[in-house]
Amino acid sequence: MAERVAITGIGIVSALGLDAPTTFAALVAGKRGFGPLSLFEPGDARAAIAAEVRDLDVASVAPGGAAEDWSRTDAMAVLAAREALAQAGGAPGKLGVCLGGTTGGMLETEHGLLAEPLDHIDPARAARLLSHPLDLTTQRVAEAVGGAARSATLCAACSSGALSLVEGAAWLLEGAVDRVLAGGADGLCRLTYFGFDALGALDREPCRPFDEKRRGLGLGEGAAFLCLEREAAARGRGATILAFLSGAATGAEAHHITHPEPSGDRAVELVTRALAGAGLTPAKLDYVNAHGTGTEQNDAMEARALLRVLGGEARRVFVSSSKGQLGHTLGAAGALEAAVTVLGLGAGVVPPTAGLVEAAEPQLRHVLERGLPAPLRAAASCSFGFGGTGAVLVFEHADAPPRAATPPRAGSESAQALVVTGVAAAGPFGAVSGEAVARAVLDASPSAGGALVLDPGALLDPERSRRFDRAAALVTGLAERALQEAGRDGARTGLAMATAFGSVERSVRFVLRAAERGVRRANPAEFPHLVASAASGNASIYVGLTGPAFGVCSGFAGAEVSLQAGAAYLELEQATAFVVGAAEGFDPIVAEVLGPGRSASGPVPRSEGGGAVVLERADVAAARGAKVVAHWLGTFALAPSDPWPCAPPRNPARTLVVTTALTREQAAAFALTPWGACPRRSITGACGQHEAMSGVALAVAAAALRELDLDETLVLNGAAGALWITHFARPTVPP
Amino acid sequence: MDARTLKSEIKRLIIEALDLRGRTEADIDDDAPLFGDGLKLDSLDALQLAVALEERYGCEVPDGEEGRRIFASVTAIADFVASKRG
Repeated sequence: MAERVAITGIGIVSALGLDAPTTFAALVAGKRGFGPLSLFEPGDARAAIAAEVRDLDVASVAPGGAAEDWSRTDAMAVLAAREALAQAGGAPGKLGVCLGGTTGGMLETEHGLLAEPLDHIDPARAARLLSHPLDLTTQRVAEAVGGAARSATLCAACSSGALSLVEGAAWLLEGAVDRVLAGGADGLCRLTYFGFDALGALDREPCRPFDEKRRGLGLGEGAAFLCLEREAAARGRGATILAFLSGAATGAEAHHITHPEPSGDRAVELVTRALAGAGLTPAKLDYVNAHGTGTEQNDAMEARALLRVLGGEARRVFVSSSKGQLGHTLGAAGALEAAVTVLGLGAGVVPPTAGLVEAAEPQLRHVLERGLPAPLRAAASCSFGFGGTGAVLVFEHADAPPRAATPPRAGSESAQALVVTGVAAAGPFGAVSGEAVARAVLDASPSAGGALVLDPGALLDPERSRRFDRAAALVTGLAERALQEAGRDGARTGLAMATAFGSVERSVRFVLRAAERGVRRANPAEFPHLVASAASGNASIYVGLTGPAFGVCSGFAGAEVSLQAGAAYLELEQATAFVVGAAEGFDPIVAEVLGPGRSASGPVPRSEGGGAVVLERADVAAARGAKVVAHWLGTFALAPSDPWPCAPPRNPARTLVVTTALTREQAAAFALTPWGACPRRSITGACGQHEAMSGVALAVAAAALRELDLDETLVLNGAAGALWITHFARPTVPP
Repeated sequence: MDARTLKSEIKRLIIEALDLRGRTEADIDDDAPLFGDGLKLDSLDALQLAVALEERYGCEVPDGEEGRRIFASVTAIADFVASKRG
């Protein structure tokens, strides 16, 4: 990282306590959070224990009367966020909230699903199935801390929490916000419990990371937030700095949806890169908080990787996994374990690996039973997840000497210039890529919706994509086509694609089947495809993307939030290009609940589709002689009181404003801006109604510059409360 | 049920349960390996197939080496199912 980031607050909710000090003291004392599963009946599942958060009183966290609509995940996240912010103290200024998770309010959704006879799902019950999207937790956190200037919700399976910290750090270094609450939250639910059980991945006893007798995971739940600030800002206000986030490496194996790539090559690369990013070598590293799930596949791979990367230092560097105490908290784990790592650094105590008695890899320096006092200078926290996603974070002690000044970047002081080098879109108008996108969408006749023109499966090799749902097929097909247009392969290429709902119908079927016919009748191969990161994980494997790949959840603004996420990751040099955008697959339950959309010209039938653009560093694109489709000048969420963010158009006749779902008020307000007189086209009719319309709009606006011979284009997306604006310019027009 | 009918039924079950789009019975050789080479199925398919076999024939496929032997080929699966059904 070009600049280390100060951590000034920590909040934790876990099976060992409802705050960070209680949790950490219990960790050091060697307490284990496992007990009989009580949140739901395990039925005929092979395992029946979990590390549940006890004494969580949702009603005392939710605003008066609202508790009924809150999930446990919401309450855990809000408690942890409040604790982190309170510890950081001072006025938060412009605050960002970034959350990683996998299932959000799934438990509450399941309660609603199973409360009545299972013969059919009526509309009222179906509506409840959509009532806990992943980003609702983020909204509740933002509301609880007085509002957020920027927020994002991402899912990269079990590395979600770690990826959220990386994105938060990038927001600070970009200068987008003054402070970020970044973390993860995941409550236990049947979907994940039964899913891992069906895979045979759960240990019937409390899990035993790195032990010879390790038999699998022990699931847990929890939330953690870290308050991040720029070092200068934290010092300037005299804040207590707990530690620094100094290096981060994220990436994907592009190997298999559930199995880690056994050599550990990618893990070795991530640890090496994270240390290098922090300006450290293994000789300066004192502790690794391992992913250490207790499964044979993860632990063997991780141990092998750590031994390789630490070399001769492996005898000295402490290694432990917190999962024998906290359980595997899935989307929260990366943040929760980062928080534990920071607390260990601050206290000078290495937390133990509970459950480890006889090490399968005795060459590592394990810490058994209880915490071990030791001065720690720097520590790493590792996260690996389904789909081959991985993240390694490197933290330094608060007293670590300032980093030697890094040479300023070539060009401007601000973020790297980013360009679009490939675009693709899909919808009732077909699947199109390159410059043809603009006309294909703008000239399309209004969609009839309903029966879909598009067969997402036809975009891909049927054998390699046989387990994909429609969203995964769309995300993968768009990514592949956009990268083809860009002339890039997947090396050092990341992916951030938004899907608003995921596989609602498949998830419902999975949970109902497990409840009606038993967990042992649940389809094991189905489960890995039901989490919110399934589409990004599948795309990463199919296309061979080795940069970080994750899903984004943000309702109708998913494409824009994905674009910002990709830009943030490029800022932190986690990849040299990013596929960003949104795709929504048709789901019968979502269609039944939400019905058709509305536009000025009447109802718009529910449809599916999406769009992707390849966002690439301008220097990288230039070096490989790529044809630049568009310069990206920025993406902004505009509140009604905010000033207009874009420079006036140089020549209004040579512009186009592409709109999706603009309200009458937004259209009227836009007419008063410097861009108000520019030609404007809505693409809602061509797309039909779905949450990924602005993904299509991004592709159209980027492609239109060359295809329609324009100087500048805007995307206006009015469907998400705020007005989202994305500004592109033609490569030949200086920004 | 004779062995040929059973094998044919198992092939249809494999195609259906594992969603092997575009494959037909004729594509699956009785004695060819199902995993790794041949059909290129993976461990997720093995889990899914075990659930499907249990549901259809009521016989639980054991874990480990024995399970791997049973899943070696369609013939091996058919022998296992026939032995369980007596």
